[in-house]
Amino acid sequence: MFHLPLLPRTRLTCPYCYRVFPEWRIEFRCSGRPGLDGTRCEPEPDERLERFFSTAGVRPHTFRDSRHRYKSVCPVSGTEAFERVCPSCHTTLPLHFGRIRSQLIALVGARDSGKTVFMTVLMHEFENRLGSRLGASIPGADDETRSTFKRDYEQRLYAGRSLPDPTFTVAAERQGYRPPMVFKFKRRTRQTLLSFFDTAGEDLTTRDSVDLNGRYLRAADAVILILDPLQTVGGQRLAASEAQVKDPRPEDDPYHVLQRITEMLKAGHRDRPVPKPLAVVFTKLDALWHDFPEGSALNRKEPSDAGSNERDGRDVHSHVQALLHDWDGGQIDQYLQDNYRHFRYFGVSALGAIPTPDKRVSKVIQPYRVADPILWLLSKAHMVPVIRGH
Amino acid sequence: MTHDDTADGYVTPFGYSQRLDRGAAAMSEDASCVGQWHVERLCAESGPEVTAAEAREALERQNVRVAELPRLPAEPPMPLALHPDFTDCVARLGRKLSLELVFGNAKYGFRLLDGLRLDDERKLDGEAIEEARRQVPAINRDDSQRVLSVLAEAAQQPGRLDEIVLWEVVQMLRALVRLDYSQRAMTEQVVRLSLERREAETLAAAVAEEYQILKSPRQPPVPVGIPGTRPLTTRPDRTPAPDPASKPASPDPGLGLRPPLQPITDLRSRALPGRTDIVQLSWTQPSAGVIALRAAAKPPPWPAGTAVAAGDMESYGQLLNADGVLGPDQRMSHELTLPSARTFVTAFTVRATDAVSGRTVEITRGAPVRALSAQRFGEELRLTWEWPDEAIAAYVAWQPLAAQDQRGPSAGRQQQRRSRRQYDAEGGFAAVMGHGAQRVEVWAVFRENGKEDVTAPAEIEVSATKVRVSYSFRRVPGRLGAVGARRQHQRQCELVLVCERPCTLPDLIVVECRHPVAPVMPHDDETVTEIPGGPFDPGQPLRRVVDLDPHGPSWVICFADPTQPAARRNQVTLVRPPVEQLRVK
Repeated sequence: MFHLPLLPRTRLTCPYCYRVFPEWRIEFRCSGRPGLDGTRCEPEPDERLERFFSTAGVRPHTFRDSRHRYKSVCPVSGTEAFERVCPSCHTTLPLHFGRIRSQLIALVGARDSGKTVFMTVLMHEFENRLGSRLGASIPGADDETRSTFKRDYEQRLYAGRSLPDPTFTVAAERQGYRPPMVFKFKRRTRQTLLSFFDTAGEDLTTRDSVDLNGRYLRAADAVILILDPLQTVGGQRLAASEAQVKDPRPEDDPYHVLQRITEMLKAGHRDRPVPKPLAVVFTKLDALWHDFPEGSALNRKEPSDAGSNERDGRDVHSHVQALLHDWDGGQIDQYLQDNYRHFRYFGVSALGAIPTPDKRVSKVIQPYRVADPILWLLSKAHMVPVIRGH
Repeated sequence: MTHDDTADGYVTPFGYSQRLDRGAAAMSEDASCVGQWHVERLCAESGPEVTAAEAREALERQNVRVAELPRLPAEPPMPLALHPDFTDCVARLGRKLSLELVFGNAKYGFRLLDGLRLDDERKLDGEAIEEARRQVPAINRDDSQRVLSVLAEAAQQPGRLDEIVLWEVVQMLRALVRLDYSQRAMTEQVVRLSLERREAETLAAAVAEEYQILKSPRQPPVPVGIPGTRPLTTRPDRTPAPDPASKPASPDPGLGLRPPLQPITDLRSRALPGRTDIVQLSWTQPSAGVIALRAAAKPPPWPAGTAVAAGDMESYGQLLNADGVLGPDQRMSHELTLPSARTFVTAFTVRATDAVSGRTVEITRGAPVRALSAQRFGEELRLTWEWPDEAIAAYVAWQPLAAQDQRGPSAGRQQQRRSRRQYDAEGGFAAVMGHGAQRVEVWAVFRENGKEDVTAPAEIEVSATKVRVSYSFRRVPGRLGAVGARRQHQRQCELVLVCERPCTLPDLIVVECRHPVAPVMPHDDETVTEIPGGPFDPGQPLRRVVDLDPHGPSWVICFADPTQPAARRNQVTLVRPPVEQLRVK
């Protein structure tokens, strides 16, 4: 059984750039306020921020203080500094980073598989329904997550009812980069940072982008693999007539995507099953609902427990597994069994309905089972209980 | 029948008889009861030789009852005429009849044609109304009190309450007939209100007949406005066009015979029961001029009663393509497709280049939610709808259809409030409503002047899930126990089937297979047992011992036999046990 460590790590991973560093290397950023003698640090361009995230603008300098954890004093101006930053990318770290656990979750999948929609809806559910369901608070952990996500993704999808554009690639980071979304999950006495990194589908097709993504995947504690059933031959055949089915590109074939991701996860390790839990999520269930018999695990009421419902999860896993054998002949299932120690299948509909041909959502977004994968991963990390029985 | 009965224009008596039977059969498709007008029409259509008695017999052969239809009220009874908001209050409360407010959730059936009588001998009187007023719920208290006070006032005069209930039933039927409901469907709608079936048939027949008489060529509908054309007058207007320089809409001293234009002051809009996509506009036809309805996003700059030049009027909004139909209450009515945004409709009385602005009604406000739809996930129903502008919340009420029919109009009813913010943030509305068929109603809530108000309800009926038949497997160790059974190369399990309510079980098969995963459908040559279908009671679980291959483990799964017709196969839902139970060692 896979268990994530319960204690804070001595070696930490930045939830934004996914680089590993010891806690003593955390840096502080000067507040920029004048000190007692009137000395003041002037803002200056931050090369690291620019290099990682193409963030323009100027900020006060950073400095290292290996003797203090939470606050320090700027050696130039003498003012107190509270803002801690990653030594690699200089992004401001969430409050209590290093003292609480971090779960880095990589979200990967082929182009047009619905990763960004899934993530946007999942984040929205975090802030609206999931918190009260779990008895937990799940706010955004930084300004980027709180404001940019709301403005660029949530409002566009929920208020504008428009599907997002294809995610730009990490390889094209000079033109712009989407930093991971970081949430602080707190339930009773336990808390963890959840960092979701959404790769673009194209990131998994070229060697350069694969190398770049490899770092994120290797640093991740868990992986959510998004697969589009409409990109399988069997799934296309069963899809509702109004669903937008495109001719699948060979590089978007779910089996090929899975192979590339597995190679990235295994690179530099012995040939043994990947220990990280992998949630294999089949999206766009709404295009296939009509084909599921009444009473099927994929069209019954989703659980509303304050945790991960094991029995329901196994039923869904078994049902998706059987469908996968119908759609794809079982090669994906066999590959997963050979290469992963912990994996589970999920079926979700992020929108709850098939979008219109012009990529718009015709009615209110009504997600189905979208929280199941993250609840399973959180239960693996002992952050939410496993509900057994009915 | 091989020869032509109508050859050479001569129709044989056999031909009349056949035509009569065909006509009666056609009527029976739509109606279970007709009046004298239909009998006469059938006679006329069948041929001159056919008598009324023969037509009656033909109809009765087709199980169509010929009844003396009651005279329907053309105008609201006096208490309602004095309180024109009465009907709107009842609708806002989610009720079809004011009677429901008095007797609440209690079980009752009633008759109406010879005076209002309840089956359980209770009476709708001042005492019952006072009792209801003492128990008015907190929600929509003002509307409830308003309706009950009007009823209490009417109860002081004998027969007034009967007239009110009859008017409400007839008005509901008139709305349905205008929506092209069949007579049988209209009857069913009234039966759901607990009116005795025979009386429901009679009233539906009377309303249908009234509507057909009105639609007949002798009384054509009056056009109220056609885009691109000048509105036409309802009667020949041979007077010359007035001098454009003269004051519009003022009595012309030179043309003393022409009456002055009167503004329409009673334009009304209302939602129709069961329809979320249209509203009904109604007005009284003026004595002079024609009506042009114009729709715009803002109210017109002229107060009602202002004389305006026709050219100015045409610059305001858009002319609605509306044909008015004269109703039994002598009011014109028109069903308008509900606009997506807030819209104001103004009635103008027009004659040549003169016009008078009339009353303006706001369409979106007070209109019900649109595009109400439901999706079932087992016992949970998920609802979505489109909000009217300015709605802040909605009340959602649901009621099992079976309970409604058997235990009274409000039995088992539940209600929840959902704010608009909650609806948008939490993905519509979802509630566990059970596996049975449900009628769901949604009212939008507005706030105006610090007071909340609700619209007419939008309704939807959601069908029940099929009867759920659960099954499980139990290992059978055999007489010698598990070890002994293994030695004897025996492997058995017991299938136990239980259902939640009586049903007809389809033919079932039990499949044993060794696929890597539990299959979702049966494959050939894997069936180990066939179980013939038949009546199945909840109290008597069906048990069947299944012989399996001696070597396990294997998947053992029960399916409905795929070779039987789909209608029989899909009568029930087979509910699988947890997947671990299907893996039999």
